[in-house]
Amino acid sequence: MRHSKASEVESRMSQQEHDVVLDQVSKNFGNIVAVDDVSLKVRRGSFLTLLGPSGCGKTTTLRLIGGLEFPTRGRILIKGQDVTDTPPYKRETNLVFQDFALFPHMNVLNNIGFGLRMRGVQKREVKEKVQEMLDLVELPDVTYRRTNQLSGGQRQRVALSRALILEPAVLLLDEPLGALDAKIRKQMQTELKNLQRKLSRTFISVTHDQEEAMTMSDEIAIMNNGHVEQVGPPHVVYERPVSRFVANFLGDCNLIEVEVVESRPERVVVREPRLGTFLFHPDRDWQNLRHQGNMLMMIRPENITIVEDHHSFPNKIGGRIKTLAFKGSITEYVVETSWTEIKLQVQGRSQLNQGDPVLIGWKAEDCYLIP
Amino acid sequence: MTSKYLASVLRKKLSDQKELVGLLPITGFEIFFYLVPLAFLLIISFWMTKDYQPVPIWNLQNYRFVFSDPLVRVAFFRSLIITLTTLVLTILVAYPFAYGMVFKVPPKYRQLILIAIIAPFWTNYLVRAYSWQLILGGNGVINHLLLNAGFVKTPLSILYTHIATRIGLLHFLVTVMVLNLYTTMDNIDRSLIEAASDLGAGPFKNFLWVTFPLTLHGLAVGTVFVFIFSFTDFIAPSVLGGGTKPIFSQKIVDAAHWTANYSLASALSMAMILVIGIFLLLIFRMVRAVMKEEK
Amino acid sequence: MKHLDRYLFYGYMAAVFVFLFLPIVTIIIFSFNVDKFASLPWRGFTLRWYQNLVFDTGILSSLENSLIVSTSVAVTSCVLGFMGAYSLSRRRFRFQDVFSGIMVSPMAVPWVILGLAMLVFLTRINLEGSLVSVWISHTVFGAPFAMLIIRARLSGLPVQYEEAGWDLGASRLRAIWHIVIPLTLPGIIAAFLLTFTLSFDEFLIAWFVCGFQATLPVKIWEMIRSGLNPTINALGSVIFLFSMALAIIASLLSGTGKRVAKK
Repeated sequence: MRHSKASEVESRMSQQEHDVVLDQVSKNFGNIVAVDDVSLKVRRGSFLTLLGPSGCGKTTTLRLIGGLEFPTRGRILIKGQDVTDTPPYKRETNLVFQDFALFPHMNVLNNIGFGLRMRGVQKREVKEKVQEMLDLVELPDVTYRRTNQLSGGQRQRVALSRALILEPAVLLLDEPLGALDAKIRKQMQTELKNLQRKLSRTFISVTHDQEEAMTMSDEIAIMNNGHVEQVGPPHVVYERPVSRFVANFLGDCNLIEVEVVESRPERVVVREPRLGTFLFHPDRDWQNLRHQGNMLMMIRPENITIVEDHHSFPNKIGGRIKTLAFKGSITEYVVETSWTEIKLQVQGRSQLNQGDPVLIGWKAEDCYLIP
Repeated sequence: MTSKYLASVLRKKLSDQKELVGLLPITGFEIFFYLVPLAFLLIISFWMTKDYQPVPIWNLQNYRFVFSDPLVRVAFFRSLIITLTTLVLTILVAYPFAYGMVFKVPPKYRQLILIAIIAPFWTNYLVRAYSWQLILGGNGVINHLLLNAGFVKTPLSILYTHIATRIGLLHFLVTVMVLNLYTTMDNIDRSLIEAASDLGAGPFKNFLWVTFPLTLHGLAVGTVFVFIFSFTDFIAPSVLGGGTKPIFSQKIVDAAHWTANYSLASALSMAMILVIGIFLLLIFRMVRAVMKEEK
Repeated sequence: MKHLDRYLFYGYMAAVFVFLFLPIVTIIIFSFNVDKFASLPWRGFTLRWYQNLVFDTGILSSLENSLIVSTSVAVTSCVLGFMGAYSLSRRRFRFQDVFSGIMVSPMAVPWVILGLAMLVFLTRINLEGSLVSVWISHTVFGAPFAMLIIRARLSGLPVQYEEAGWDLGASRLRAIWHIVIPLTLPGIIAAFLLTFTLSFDEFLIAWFVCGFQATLPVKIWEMIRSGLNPTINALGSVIFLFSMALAIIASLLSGTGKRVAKK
């Protein structure tokens, strides 16, 4: 990897802003490409989640940042320093393992204090710091317990403490909530987020749970088959996905193939031969102006509603209700149109029944076009 | 810049292989102190011995002696017979024991039985052979009981015959065979036996057609160990069998210890390895043939 | 009737146990017998033969030799074996099975041949006729054996614990010392005890290479050769109990029984 002048300048500049930089990183295991030419910049003090299905390379990427794997190609920089060849025990990262990996032959004190002891800190000071840490995560009484005597939630906090006590530049978390019961999970989501804010440290988390990612992250990087499809704040990736994969992964959506008829900065007209013509109002970040031909129109179910007043919605389709499901706060409909099925969500209870004809619609700002 | 790149590539390759470094000491040790001596032994079987030292005069004299000398031949056949009879005895004694252990004894006692079987296994083989002298000797336990009970008039001479040798070997090998059979038997899928039973096979037929064939693998492995051990053992025949009817391993020791004819001793050793090799081949063929028949 | 076959088997197994423990029990009983010849009826109880043990310099020096050699063998075997086991369990490589096969083969090669080979070779390099020769020869089969035992234990250890150690600042070696070894300790101790016992009891190879520095089994052989000597009974009994104790401890540590009991 040749180091050109331009990238040297760039890396010096990004030193100030980005704690982690991946530069065209690839990782192969034999013939299998786990991570494929990934470039990523993580801003200091932010909470980034690597999100994707099993096998997409997110865990490998995390381990690459932590130093437990070495890249086949590319560079990794942490706080501006090239750590590509640096072993994990010399990197300023710490990892909270998926199953916590708490040392079974040590009690809580020695587990949490392990890293400090490796640095040569004296026993008494280690004990003080561990106690402080335990108070911070609200586990003051478990100091001398063996790790197999703790509950799942307690073990997670011990694992967190063990990593955080070393004050790493970047904290890595591998499916941090995966081993917890559903009840505790929601609580922990907020707690983790608060902890990160309080410490203003960079956190990078890995998960396959999109709800978890959306709740906790400042930015989400969605991965598929070893490469990053999109990086951005939760609302951006949700409302303005760059690909079909991202749109589908983050929640239910309706995808309709359309043809671009007219394309201007503030208004795009598309057409689907059987369903009609539709209007899309892009916002100022809309990049795909030059893209002509076929695109995918995406509308999220919660943005579609049953039309009563013809004039309030520029986009309308007529159809028949195929199924409806009352879910308490919302009702989900599947409407069959002349070409495709459309899913929509409406607040409250419905007045309609299966088989009823219905007109559904959405606003021009509530849809999106994907190339 | 390129040198830095090359250095990092090299470092990566090395760190990948770094984990194998731990194998170097043991591999080096075994190569130098195990493989080399064996290879050297093979070489000197083609040499001659002068003044108690092997000298590199290449010849086939040693092998000619091994294959033609009548005493060697007698010792060989004696060893073979003892080995084969011991093998049969061991199987007969060990098999029902292993079977009982797996199929008849409640699981909670199995650990106990396993430990009880293993414990005597680890005792000093030499002392064990000697202890049989106390039992089998002219003044020993058995003769004493028989004389007192009036079953015999004069003491039986069991000791210093190869019957005693067989007993000594059996004592050690039963455990070996049981352990081998036990593992195989334990891994048998019980539902196969139940299925056979459901289809109408009585306990004996069930055993013959279902259980037994499934144990053949463990039986074969055990047989190999038993054969090798019995054929090559020196201690049991010497301590219990007496010196009058030498067996093959004793011939090797004679050549090495008493006459210091190392090249002859190594030729005899190679012949011993050859016999073992032939036996392994036979067993392998047999097992394969039986497996094919099953299909 | 239903349980008849079960009791038949129990009876048979008991008989086999009697057979197995008969010589052990016999020698222990006779070691207390006043009579010089191992014969019945019982003529009296004595501790004389055990007292002989303590005062016989030949026995004591060979015991000392055995202890020195066997401990050294156990240490060397465990060190070599641990290093090999660690590498094998952390890395896959081609020819691994062939390698393992060759490593285990010293246990399968007839020890009379192994003894001869060691004698001839060690003489050639002037390392023959001392305790060092015995130490080397015993390590030849001790190290692979220790490697086997430790490896079984190591493969059950998830690699995450080491990785956590590295992540927290421990270098490879420190992680091995602080994490891997403590968690593998039962296996290492079992390997130590078993290798020690194997070496302590081994006669044939030691006889070939030890020269005038007899180990205990060699001394016992000489005693047996020179005629019936009841001191052997006392010595044998002590050795028996010692070996069995070590083997039982090692068995429990390496979890042999546990796997069985779980079924």
